[in-house]
Amino acid sequence: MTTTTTTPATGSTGSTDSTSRTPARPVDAYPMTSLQAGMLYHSSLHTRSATYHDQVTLELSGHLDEQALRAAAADVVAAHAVLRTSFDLQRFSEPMQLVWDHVEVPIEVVDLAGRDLVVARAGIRRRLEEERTVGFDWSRPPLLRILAYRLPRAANTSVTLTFHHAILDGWSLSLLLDELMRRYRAAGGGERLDLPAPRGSFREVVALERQAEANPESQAYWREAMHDAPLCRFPRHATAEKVEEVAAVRESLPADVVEGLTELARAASVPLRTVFLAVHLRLVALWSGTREAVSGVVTHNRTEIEDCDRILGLFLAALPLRVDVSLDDSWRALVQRVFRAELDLMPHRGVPLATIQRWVERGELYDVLFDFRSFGTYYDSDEGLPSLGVDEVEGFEQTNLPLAVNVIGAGNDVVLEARYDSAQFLPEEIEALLATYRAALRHCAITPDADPRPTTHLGVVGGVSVGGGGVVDVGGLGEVVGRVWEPVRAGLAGRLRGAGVGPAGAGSGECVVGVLMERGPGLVEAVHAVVGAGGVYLPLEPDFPDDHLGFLLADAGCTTLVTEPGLESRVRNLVEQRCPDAAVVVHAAGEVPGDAEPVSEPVVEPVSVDGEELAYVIHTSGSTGRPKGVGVSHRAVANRLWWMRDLVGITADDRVLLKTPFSFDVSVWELFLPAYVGAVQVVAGAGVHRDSAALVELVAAERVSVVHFVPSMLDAFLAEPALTAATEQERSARWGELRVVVCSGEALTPALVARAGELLPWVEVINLYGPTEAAVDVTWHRVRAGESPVPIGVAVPHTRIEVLDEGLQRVPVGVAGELCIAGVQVARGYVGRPGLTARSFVPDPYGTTGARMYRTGDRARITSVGTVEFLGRSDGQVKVRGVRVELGEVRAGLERDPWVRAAWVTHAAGADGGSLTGYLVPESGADSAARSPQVWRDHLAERMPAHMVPTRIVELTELPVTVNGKLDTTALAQLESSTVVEGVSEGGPPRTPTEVAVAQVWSDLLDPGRPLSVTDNFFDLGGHSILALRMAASLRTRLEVEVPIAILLSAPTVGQFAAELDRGSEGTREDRIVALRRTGDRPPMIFMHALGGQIFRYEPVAKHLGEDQPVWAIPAAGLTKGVAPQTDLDTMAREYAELIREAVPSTAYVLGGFCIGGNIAMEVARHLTAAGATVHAVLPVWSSIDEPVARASLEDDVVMMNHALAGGFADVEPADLIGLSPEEQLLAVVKGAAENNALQVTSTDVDEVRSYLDVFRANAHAVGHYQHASWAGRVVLFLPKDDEYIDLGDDQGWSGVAPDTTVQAIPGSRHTAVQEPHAIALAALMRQRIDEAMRLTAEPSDEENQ
Amino acid sequence: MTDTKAWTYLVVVNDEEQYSIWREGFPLPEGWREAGFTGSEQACMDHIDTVWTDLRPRSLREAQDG
Repeated sequence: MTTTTTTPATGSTGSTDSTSRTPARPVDAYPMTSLQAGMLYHSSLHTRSATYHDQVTLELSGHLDEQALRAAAADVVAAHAVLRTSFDLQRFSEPMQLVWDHVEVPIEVVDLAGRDLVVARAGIRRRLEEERTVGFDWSRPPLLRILAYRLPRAANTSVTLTFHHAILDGWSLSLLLDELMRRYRAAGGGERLDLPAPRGSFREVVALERQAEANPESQAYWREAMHDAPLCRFPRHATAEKVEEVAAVRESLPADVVEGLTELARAASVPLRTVFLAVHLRLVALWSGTREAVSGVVTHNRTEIEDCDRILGLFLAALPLRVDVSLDDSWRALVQRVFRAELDLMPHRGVPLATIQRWVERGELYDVLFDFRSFGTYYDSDEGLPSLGVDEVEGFEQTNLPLAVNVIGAGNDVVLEARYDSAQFLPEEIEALLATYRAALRHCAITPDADPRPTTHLGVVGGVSVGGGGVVDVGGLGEVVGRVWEPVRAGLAGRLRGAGVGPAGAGSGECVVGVLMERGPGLVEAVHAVVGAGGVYLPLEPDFPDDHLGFLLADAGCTTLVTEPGLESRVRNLVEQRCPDAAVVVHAAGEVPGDAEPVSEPVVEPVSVDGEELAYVIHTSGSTGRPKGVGVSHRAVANRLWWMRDLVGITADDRVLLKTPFSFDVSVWELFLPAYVGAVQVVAGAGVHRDSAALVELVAAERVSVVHFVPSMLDAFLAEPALTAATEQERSARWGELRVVVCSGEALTPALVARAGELLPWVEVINLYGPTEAAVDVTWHRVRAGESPVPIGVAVPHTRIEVLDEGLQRVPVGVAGELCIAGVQVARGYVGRPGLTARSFVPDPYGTTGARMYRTGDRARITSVGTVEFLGRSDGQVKVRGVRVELGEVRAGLERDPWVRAAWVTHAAGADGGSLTGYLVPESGADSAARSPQVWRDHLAERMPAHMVPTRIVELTELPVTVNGKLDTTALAQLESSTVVEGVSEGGPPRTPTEVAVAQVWSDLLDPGRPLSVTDNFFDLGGHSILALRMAASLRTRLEVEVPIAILLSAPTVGQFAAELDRGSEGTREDRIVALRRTGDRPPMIFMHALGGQIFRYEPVAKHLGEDQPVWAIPAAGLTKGVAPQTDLDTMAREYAELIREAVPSTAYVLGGFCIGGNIAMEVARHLTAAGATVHAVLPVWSSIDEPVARASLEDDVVMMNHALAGGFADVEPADLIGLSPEEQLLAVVKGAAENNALQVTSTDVDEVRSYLDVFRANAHAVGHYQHASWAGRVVLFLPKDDEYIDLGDDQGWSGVAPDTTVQAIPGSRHTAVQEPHAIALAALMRQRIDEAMRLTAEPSDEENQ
Repeated sequence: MTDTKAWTYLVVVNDEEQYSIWREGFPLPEGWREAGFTGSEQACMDHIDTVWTDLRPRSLREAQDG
């Protein structure tokens, strides 16, 4: 590549000619808008990231006319204040923007005309990508760069503008491009366009913003509008790395769709934008699984301002809009509702987002942004561009939102664009999203009167099933019982028949038979006999209290009881009290009916039953505390058994453990399936199911091959020392027959799966899910190592899983909804509870005619591979600061960490909006230091929005479980904090002075009155970007140190932040001495500040002094630090010398300074040489040994102010100031200076000006009354040739003090000599003089320097 | 804001004379008809408690009761 030129000579156009010789001066200053501040904040968090850096490329045909481009750019910049604006985040009480009288646009021209086109294109692409990530120095306007390429062959040109979004919105960009191109064309023809300047100004936006913020109605509106609003979040894959990279997908909308939407807009008398917005909001709700949609919507605040359509600036705002999309049964009505919502918002749109966030006390209000852009762009200009055509415009803009949906275009040409962070979304997720936009836009366009709520119209497929989902005749349990019919059971069945238990259809209805027995062979016989006799069994556990047993008997309408001899008297008592009419049958295991109890009707064959008849009633806990008896049919149970047999592959060779209490429906397959397939049933004794040590031994001793666990029991099983302490060989010998472990009942964690794989690698783990209301289990999943989270899998045959929203509509893949079950396993209902049954068993919108489905109340989502992921109970949905959170999702997030063995999350409602506590059991071997609560929170924070990250993390050695082996949530809630490892909000009070200051400032900003601890986290306290900027400003004043806000990211707590600040100020004292170039092997050049105290003026010279020349500069004490100004030159010089030796250690230096900086430099040189260092030379620029300015300033305040504030250029007559108060005098000078474009300070704030004056006055005192002692060192005095006060023959008294003084003439006046372009010459001459001085020093004449 | 408790429901019934509730205004799935009662969720459930006295599907009931 050949770079022809970079920044060129100024003054190439008429517009800048008059001002280019004078330094840029601020002509206006006003606060930044919140949006601008927010953008800068986000940019500052990611150095070398493209956040909020926008780029647009124009492809022009025709040769590049470089001069015309430069002239056009200069004129555009001259015409628009925002292009001459810089930002100052530091020196004022709030972030300010400063408008300068003139600035120069950096334009780089690269000539690739002779290159291969393909190679050139690739090079350009790389360069542009790099260009995007190059930061802007906010203090140096413009925040705009131009890169132009002469392209190969066809005499083409590309022009790329890279700018910071904080200065331009989309409309402004198109205005800018339009004007730039028109001016370019005119300049190419030797003309200069005379365009009237717009009358309004961007500063009015700031005023409007302030006005809106002060409006109580706006506050009331936003509080109401955002009260308890959901955070609508599109599903996305989680990623650990947070690399923001924007990708975009665009597609043109079909003409008929656009026409339909346009027609709908016309008929509804709303803008087309509103129709698109309505569809967007419908889809936001769809993809968030919510009734209400909340989306960021781009609006702009131009309309109140004069000439609003011609001003460049950042007028846009992105405000949350909230609409309930579940209320309207037509698109037309929804469009009207959205339009009303927009109108309601309109009067309050001036309020910045950050203020709304503060009002509603919430950080994130939306996660997706909608923008409708229909403005004309420059290439639509009907003037055309005859000599050059704009072939292509490529735009790049990056925002910090994960997803934006943009509708771009005008007329019938409309493009839909999804712009997304590819670190958060996968391309296929975006494609699925766009598919629903396509479907919904078409549905709305073609059938505007159709209901927008049914999601099938929106392109949602949904539903998980394998094969047919309809009702299939799978027979009844009779078949099962028939297979294994033998005298014991047949005999008992006969006795039951004798007691009145009969097959249905005989007029007796269904007979519920309570079975009250301990687990053992007798229990198995009894259950089989009940079912075989055509009865419905009701499990009654002997360890239930009598009260409870009595309730169950009565609730289920029990007519007969079977028990064993040892429990007979208890049963007879119960019967007497609760159901005196019921018969009692006593059965001992293996008992064959004898003569003692004659069988009225010997039964040898099982009765045949209808598949719809009930097989059992099992109670589940109810939300009101009253258990509900679920009646499950023969057909449902049979299906449950058949798929278990076929899918898990259970055969006659298996030995199946029966260990589940039979009041828990997992026992159903353990009871019946072995009998059916002819497998051996190993019956665990009473109580063994709770004893993991006994189970480990039993499984080994009985060579058990299949066993069913709830995960917490599997956890205990795998932790048994008998298993863990055994060698691999021993394990394989003792538990080698164990083939399958089936899990259900609780979430199965990846860590548990991993542990099973480690200890029993030959065992297959199968995860099941299902409620009692759908015959135990309806999904199954063969677990694979490394799955995280472990899915509950797919639907079993003859069932269908649906994930539905509140309106029972299917939600898209990845969206959480209620898990509903349809198909053959759905239970009949709750025995004796018709109303409750009707609410939970509802019409199936996707099933066969008249079918019902069961609403589980569980939350789930369907993954992109079609498996179901369980997310917890619906009542696990809680609100944290008004945002709905799925506790199950947070828990799954915690458990995804490979070092977390098990986790649970609880929610505490509270005045602070509620908070989450995460309980977790670390995997043994987890490094506790590396895995602190904070680390776990960080880990989670990488994958979830902040409100989902628990504020408190508690480590436990194990999760408490109930007798049934399920998690004991009550015990968890009662955990004493003594067993708890310290959570993050439990740190101590601040200790160090920095911590105290940080805590105080944060508390004032974030939570006034509350004392903060060292572990309080800025973001958890509600801190956001604007507050961060304010916090930095406040701390900077208080602590007098630099406060880089970016460290908040790595150090978000009071303690961490304070430590970072301390570390910063303990390092090099760079806040007192500034490196202009750090590297190089020459003796360091050090510049001293002048009267004003600032050092910015040395930057141009430093730049040109050479790569090998280190350059440093010392600003005045008291300028920005609040340190008392130094008024004694000798003290000042001694302090500066120490500073230099400490921060820039070297044996030799060169010192310099402008004006009194030269005087200071000589005194510093005196101290440095006294300390043993060599000073090759002192290089004063425009400096007098007597310093007349300083002295005059001391004698006359007006002179001082004139010099201090306006460099002597303020158009103020001293006589006019007589009689005015000091403050009025100050204002008069400021006004005069401003009128003369000569203001040297960047503020018109009186306090700010006064602090500047104080520094000026102190410096004047230090120098003005100082009598320099004579000095033997070398001095080269640089005097500007073109200065009216300078006579080159006069060395300004320097030789009187320093005999070895040489005068060097330099180009420019005293103001321009140190600026570009004269700085180039100055630097070259300085370098020459330094070389010369170094040569002379090397020659022996040392004694002079002593 | 909206709340499911505030919604209006219909009592509906299928050919097996199984009752259920359905949110008013949403298209009712095939095979179901309105049973003539409208109200809050709780009111519908209370109504069903009085009219749905036998939870057995109609075809089973007819087969069993002959």
